[in-house]
Amino acid sequence: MVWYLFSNDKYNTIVMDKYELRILTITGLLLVFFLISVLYAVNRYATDLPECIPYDESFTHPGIKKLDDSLYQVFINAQMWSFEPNEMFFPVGSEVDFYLSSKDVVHGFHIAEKGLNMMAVPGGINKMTTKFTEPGVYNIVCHEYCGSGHQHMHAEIVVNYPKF
Amino acid sequence: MPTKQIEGMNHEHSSDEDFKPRGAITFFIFIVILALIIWFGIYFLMINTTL
Amino acid sequence: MLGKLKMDEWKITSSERYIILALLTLPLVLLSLGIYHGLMQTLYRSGMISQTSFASIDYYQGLTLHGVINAIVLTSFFAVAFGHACMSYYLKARMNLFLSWLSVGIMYMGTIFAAITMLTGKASVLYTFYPPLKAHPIFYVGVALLIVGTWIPFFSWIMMYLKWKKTHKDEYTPLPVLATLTNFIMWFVCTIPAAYEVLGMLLPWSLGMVETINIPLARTLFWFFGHALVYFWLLPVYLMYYSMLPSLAGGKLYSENAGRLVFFLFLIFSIPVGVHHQFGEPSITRGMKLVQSILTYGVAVPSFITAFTIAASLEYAAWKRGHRGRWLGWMLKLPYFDKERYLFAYLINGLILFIFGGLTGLVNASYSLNSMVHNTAWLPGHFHMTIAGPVFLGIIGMCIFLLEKIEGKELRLKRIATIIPYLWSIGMLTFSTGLMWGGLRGEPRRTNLGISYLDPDSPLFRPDWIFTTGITVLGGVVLFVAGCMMFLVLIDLVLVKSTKAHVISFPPFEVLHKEKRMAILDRLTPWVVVMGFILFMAYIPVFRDIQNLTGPGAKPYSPENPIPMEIFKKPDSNE
Repeated sequence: MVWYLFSNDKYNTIVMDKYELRILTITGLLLVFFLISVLYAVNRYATDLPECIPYDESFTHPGIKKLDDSLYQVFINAQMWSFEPNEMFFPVGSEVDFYLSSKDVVHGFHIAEKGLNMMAVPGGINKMTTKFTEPGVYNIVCHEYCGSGHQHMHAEIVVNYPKF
Repeated sequence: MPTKQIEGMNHEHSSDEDFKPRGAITFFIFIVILALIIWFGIYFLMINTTL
Repeated sequence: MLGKLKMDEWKITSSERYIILALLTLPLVLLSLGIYHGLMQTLYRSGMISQTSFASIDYYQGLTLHGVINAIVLTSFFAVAFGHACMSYYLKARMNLFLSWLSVGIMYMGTIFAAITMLTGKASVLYTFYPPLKAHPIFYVGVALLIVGTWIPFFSWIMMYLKWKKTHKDEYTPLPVLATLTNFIMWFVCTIPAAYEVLGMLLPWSLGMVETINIPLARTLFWFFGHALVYFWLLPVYLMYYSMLPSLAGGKLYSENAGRLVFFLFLIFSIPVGVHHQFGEPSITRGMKLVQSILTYGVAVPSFITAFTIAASLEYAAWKRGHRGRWLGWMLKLPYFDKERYLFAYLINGLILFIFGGLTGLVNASYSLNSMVHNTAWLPGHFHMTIAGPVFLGIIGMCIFLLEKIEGKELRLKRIATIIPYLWSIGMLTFSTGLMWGGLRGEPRRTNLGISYLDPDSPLFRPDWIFTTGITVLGGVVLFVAGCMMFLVLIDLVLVKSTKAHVISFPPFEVLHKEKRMAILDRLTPWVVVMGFILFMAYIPVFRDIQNLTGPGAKPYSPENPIPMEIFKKPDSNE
């Protein structure tokens, strides 16, 4: 049946040109290759999309919880037009979970230096984890239009070596 | 640029059946290579940034 | 020189001519405002304008106008006008005058409502109008009217097609007719959830009839519509690529069956991919995001097929003229600057830009790769090489071409008309390079950078974004100049005298290989069934997730005020 659909029959009225079929095959292989690469990266490098958390009001109270010397949980609220908390300090080498929610409209949350990119949607809780291996100042930029103050909505993370 | 007439352009003997889209295949390979460059460019950026 | 192209003519009645004219006039006039705002944004973003507004239009208001006019009004009116032209021409049938005029009226009304609310600053919510930012209720009514207005011609074309089928039982449905019908079937299906979002959720909420609405649900309904929207824009131009570009170049379509398959693949894959715009959002599981990412790869397939098929068709044009090579020399033997075939210039530049637009789209679709680019300036960099690339150039080229024919005129500024797309490409490649590069450096999109990140006096100042926003301005200026030249050409068309008959006429549809007629590539029903099935599998779990994972709904907010608007009248309030 498949052969019938695609063969060049002897009357020279072809069903689908053989080059078109080759192109379809190359395209398919390319896309499969991309898919496998993405899944490999998710597995090996933990580069995944934000984790979806069922809504619970307890996640919407802003604050930083230190679980131990290198493990932190940040509950961050986006609102027009600031983040709360808007300045955070972590030691080099710490792993931080960000739990993000919004108090009013949809906001964005982007730490470009860490490839951490998620949306603060009212009624939803988002989570992403990252590890700060380098010291420096990291910018959190709101990248979803949220009204007239949108371009000023910004927060900072300072990562440094802890004092002893 | 107007299309030029090539000398000896007497192709009544070669019919449409003889046309093989080799140039189009070359073009397609070029597209695939470009796709790989752009896509893996972002891919490795992603891996290096998230680490 | 290729010489004059022999084109069949279909005489149209006065009423038919005025319908198409009406459909093209309003959007082209509004486009002037849309293009002005394009340039303005590059100036604001680079910090050359460091203000919240300029010439009485605020940045975000201008951005809303730019998006709505260019991406919704122009594209919808064109799709309907071009649809009328194609259905009439290829089926040799008369338009349904009552339904066509009715839809013109409704679409005009919707556009005017939306325009008034945007121009008076009551709808600065951007063309995606994401709640809980709230626009004036009339804005939502306007958008709904515009969309519903586009359904009416579709119904008239179905009747036209069924009537044609009765007397042409054994003929292949002409490819342009198939393209138009699949495009509008897809459009009709995807606009239903959007119409529900606008009329069933946003409108009552903006009138104060309900207190809160479910935001993840509203967004998901929008994006159910939003991705198919871009194919609704693109498919009329694909129609031109398959049925007109080959003969325009002096060649023939390499494979009609490939073209038919392409339109059917768009029918089944354009809609069930909307979640790829929501990869960063809560309330949707990673599993479903991955499923829709894979489906998005499915919708990339017809574009790859198109790249090869159209290249082969154009290579044939070169081959016919004696070119015999296996590399890329065939590209040199095409009528790029032939002013009698100016439409070729618009279509070929669109294709060149689409190479980059499409490939960057693949990046956006690839699940976690999206995190590198989501909501950064990369995104407008990508989509200006699609909607402001092949779609816009195809629309403008075809508007000029179609207006010439239905008005019975001959353009005088043909040389200028031919140069414009090349200037546009240079501008666009520059513009998008600046945006994409800036985006990878963290520049956000939809943001008035000039008063914060690109303001040297601001504590937020980012000097590392000066270079990339600067490149974007250069590109923006070139695009603006090309845009002005487009209006010059359109004005020439208005002023030149009508000397010929009022007809619809297109470059002839010629195929290279006589291919077997396959029933599967001529029947809409099986593909519509498959489309429905995939949609069901791709979206039911998503809506179920949203039901289970979302918290309380949101109250309305004006873009200017962080305090929610209290317009909800409590049913049992005591005075």
